[in-house]
Amino acid sequence: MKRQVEPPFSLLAELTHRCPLHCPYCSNPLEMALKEQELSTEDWCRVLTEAAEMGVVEVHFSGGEPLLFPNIEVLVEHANELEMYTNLITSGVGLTEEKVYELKEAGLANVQVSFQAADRELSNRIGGYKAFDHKRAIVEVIKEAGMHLSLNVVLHQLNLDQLDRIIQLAEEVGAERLELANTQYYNWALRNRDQLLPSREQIARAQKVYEAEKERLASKMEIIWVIPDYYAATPKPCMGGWGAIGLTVSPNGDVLPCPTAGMIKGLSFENVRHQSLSCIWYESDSFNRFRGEEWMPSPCRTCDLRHEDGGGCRCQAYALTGDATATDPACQWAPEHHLIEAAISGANDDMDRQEKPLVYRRHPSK
Amino acid sequence: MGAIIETGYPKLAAKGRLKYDKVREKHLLLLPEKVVVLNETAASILALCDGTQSVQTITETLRASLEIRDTAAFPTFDKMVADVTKFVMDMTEEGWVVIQHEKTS
Repeated sequence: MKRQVEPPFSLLAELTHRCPLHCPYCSNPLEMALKEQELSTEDWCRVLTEAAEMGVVEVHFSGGEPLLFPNIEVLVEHANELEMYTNLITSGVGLTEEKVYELKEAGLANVQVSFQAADRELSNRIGGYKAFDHKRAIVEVIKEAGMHLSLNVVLHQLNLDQLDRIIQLAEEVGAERLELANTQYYNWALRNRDQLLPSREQIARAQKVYEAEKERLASKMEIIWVIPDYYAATPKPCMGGWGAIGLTVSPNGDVLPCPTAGMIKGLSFENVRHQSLSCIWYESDSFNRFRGEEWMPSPCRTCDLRHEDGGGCRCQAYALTGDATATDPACQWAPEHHLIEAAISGANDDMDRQEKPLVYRRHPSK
Repeated sequence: MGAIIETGYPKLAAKGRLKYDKVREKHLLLLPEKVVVLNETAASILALCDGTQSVQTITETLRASLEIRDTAAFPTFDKMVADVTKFVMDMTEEGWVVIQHEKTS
């Protein structure tokens, strides 16, 4: 029997891996695509058209820093003509007043700007780049232009204790939406896990702040809390399910079920230069590999929660156990849950905690 | 809240966009990081939330677009106003509709 596969709703368009920032939790792969390998504007327009035809209604332009891609406004305009909801996920670096109005004119619906912390010193230290003052100034321009503004802050050991001030910053600049993304440990973040993983107490304190502020700001600002899955008893579902809701096209044209799936060795990914997006979504081995439940290991196969979390995140299973078909170790019943427990134990034991330097993500290089 | 809705003019929030999706044959409300699949009635009401019509007017338009069936099951006007009001209030709570005190388009 052939499985019923629904069309995707969203496309994450990673235009480039190049970025002025060096955040030590960057979700880009350790081996980044070079500028020479990037798709052209024409390629992207074709990808957007194909995506719209197959049912994609939202496109997120991301990276790296998507503003380093030439002609991004052409892509926004094209997506807008295809009646897609357009979202720009940016560090804010490279955004000028002129560019803001150009993008608005092109039909951009939402701008999501990242902040690394609530204050200049820490924000610049985490990003490895003096970007805070510019970010602070450009979000005001975005608001003046009458555009919908979201802020995104990745949370970890170094900035969780200033969560109240982070929320205050978002309120001050008039953000309509704030995404508080507890670090997910893949790629660069996994490399820096000892330096980034918060203690249980720190998470508990921050969660209290989040809950109180969410209630206080209910009618003013939407606040999203991405769960710290190392401290959750059950794993997070993988992006709403592997190949279920959205797809990612990486700078070189590889099509992935999620932004980090490229790390899974043994899976080969098709490329938009050689195949249609529709063919890749419905027919490719990589997208079909973890659809449904047939692939599930024990104890997932008989678990009541399998419809909710789908066995957890495939990338995390692979990153921690070397086996992409394993139960996500974040699950309390996973055979390899001890891997998470060991990491947590390190983060909660002061004696264990050593001052290790952060490994900043580097620029793509040959 | 009820009183504001009765005298105000509901308008789809600036962040939201309505779209008829030909692939799924469904009406959608597109939001940052969220897609809401709408039923026919919800889509018709939201399309009328343009900042120039009161709930009363929206209900009249909606009612005019329905085929009048001479059955007991067809709701009274007052019942429809109440239903539309409830729906608009729910949408307001979600932040997808805003109530304006003055007409604007």
